[in-house]
Amino acid sequence: MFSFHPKQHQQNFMHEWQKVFPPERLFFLGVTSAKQAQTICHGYWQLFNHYHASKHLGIIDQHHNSVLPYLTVKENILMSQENTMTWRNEQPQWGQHAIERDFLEKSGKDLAPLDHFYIQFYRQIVGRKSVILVNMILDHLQPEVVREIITRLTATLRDTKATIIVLTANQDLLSANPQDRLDEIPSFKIKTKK
Amino acid sequence: MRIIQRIFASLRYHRVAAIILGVMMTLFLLFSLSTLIIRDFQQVALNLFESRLNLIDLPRKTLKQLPALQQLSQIRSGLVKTTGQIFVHSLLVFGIVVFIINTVSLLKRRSELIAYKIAGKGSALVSWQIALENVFLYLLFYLGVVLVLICFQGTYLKVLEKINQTVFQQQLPATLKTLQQHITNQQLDQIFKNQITAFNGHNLLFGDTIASQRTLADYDRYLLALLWRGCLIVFSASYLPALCYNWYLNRKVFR
Repeated sequence: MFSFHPKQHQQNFMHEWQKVFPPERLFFLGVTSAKQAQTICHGYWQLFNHYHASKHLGIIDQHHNSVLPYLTVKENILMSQENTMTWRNEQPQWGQHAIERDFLEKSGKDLAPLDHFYIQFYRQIVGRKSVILVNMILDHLQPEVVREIITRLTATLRDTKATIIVLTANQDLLSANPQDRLDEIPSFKIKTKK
Repeated sequence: MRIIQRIFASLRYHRVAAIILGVMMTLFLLFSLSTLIIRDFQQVALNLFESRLNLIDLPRKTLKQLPALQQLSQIRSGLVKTTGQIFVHSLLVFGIVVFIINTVSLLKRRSELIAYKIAGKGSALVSWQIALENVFLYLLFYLGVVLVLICFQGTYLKVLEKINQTVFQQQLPATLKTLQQHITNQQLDQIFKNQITAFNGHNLLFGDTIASQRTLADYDRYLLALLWRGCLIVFSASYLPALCYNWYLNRKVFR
């Protein structure tokens, strides 16, 4: 799509970002409270927005309802025009084995809270987001459920080349993944316009 | 095409709100169509009344000076004007009712609107969809009302004629009411028997069965007027509040 903004800034920023958060990786970023997690999400959103790269960032949040009850899971995922186009073009390559058909046909009103998470996740994946922030959703789940989710996220990463950053206050989760753990929040300096 | 799919899915899901709005739409359609047809009855009666006066072999100036005829003419033209005003008011009231119902519905659908925003839909597109939902609903009820009226058009038009006559008779001053009650058709026919005109006296003064041979197809212009005006009102009264509320949610929730 045509953009009025110079691409160079955006590409430089994405290049810098990928030095800290390389693609096809899952990171766990330790936070102390929900408020801090919210501040981080907001800060990163502003950062991407500043470099006109907000279309690369997807945030999965639990604060608001994100599913329309009268649509199926598939319709919920393909809500935006971009997602529909991507689905049409790329679904045969990766979508079939990434998302089960039964899940796609489920009605929006019969979903478990975890399904809401998967809808948000696949929405970002189909929308070709290169960075996905998961805001503390895994903190309140059972360890076996978290393990299953992480397995699925890791499997999807290989197909999509995205980076997933899980914000969590769960120390067990952080200590279980020491190689992907970040205790300090990476900061990016925003160049102010002259 | 996904928007059409979403519109019907949403209408099915919010069926209670849709039925309430639909009932209001039906009432508006019946009331405004009836008002327009009654105005048409009065307009036809007024035109006929004046053309009949022209047929009588008396100078028009003399006729106009007769108070009873003048009063009848004024009542007819007054009724035409009043029914026209009632129709305009019914459009306004309908717009306000759609606005209120839509605003209440928007407040109840807050989480749904947020879900649309999270899914990447813009405010204009979401508002457009909500407005289209209501326009589709209007079209659906419009078709329903028109089909039912076509099935019972004879009865419907007779009822309207009766209402029209009742309203007209209520408007008559006491003197003309007494005249209407005391002078029978036969007496008036006796008075008018030497006049070479195509009408009897009672019909001249009080009119009655002018529109009885008409069908609903003769009022197709009113049906068309209600179609486009109704759609325009429903769209405006739905799109603007939806746009404002989405803008508010943008400011309040996503900033």
